[in-house]
Amino acid sequence: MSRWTKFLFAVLLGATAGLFYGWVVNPVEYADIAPQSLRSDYQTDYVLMVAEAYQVDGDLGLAVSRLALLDSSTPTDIVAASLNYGLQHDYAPQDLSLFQALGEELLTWNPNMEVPAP
Amino acid sequence: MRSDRRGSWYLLTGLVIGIAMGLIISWEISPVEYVNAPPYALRADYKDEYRALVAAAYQYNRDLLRAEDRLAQLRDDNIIQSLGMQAQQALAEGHSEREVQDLSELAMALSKGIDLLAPQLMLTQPIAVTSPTAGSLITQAQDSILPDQNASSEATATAEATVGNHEPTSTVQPILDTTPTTPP
Repeated sequence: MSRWTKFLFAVLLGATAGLFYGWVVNPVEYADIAPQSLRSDYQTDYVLMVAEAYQVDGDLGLAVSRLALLDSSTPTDIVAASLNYGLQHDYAPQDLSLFQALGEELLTWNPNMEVPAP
Repeated sequence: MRSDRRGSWYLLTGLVIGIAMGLIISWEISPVEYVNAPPYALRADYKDEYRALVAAAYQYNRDLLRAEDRLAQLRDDNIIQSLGMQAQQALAEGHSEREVQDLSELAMALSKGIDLLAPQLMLTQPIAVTSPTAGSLITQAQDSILPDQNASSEATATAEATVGNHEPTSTVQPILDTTPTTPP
């Protein structure tokens, strides 16, 4: 085996070791993530909380601003995705109803009608 | 003899270069992406938002176990204390009174273990919230939390033990009579 071959083999071995260390042993830790990086079930539960809170405060603008933390897509799409997830994972009917209720309210929501903050 | 030493060094050099390349790739160029992160990895301000949302949702469902489960995902050292501190902070920073009240009420509920005892009672005997001011709520929460942390923990533990294997009955009533369908 030539010296260059050995050298390249050593580089390859080192790179493998470095990748293993960087990806498995000591990967980059994201300690300050945003809600949009949450796992699907946590995101769905987040939307459920928004729907539950909306039933109490009735503040659609607040619900929309809370949903905006999750995704850049429209609030209706976010709720629809959560409803689909809930249907697929056998969520309780009352929880599904909450998704549906919020989704229906959001269909009527017009951001232009929101009173701008002073 | 000299050529043998050279051979060892170039292999070591190759290994070091390889490790450096691997670390650069794994840490800088293509780091691990956390797309399925748990709530405890949230940034501090998002955690506050999460706690406030749990407290607001609790106002609707009055399901203390659910609220406790949700808060446990944040892995706070002391859930009740975190809620109390956030309520104080929210009050100091001029957040809405509703948010302060929600946080305080949830902290009090968790510290006293109410709702856990008989969720069915909630249907006929909802917890009476007599619209106290946010400040008095926080004071009540502090009184029940801070003087004897161990006592409150024991109280919660006792309440949980009392519940045992009881399956919590949800007090949430369906809002719509229609079968949920996926919005178009």
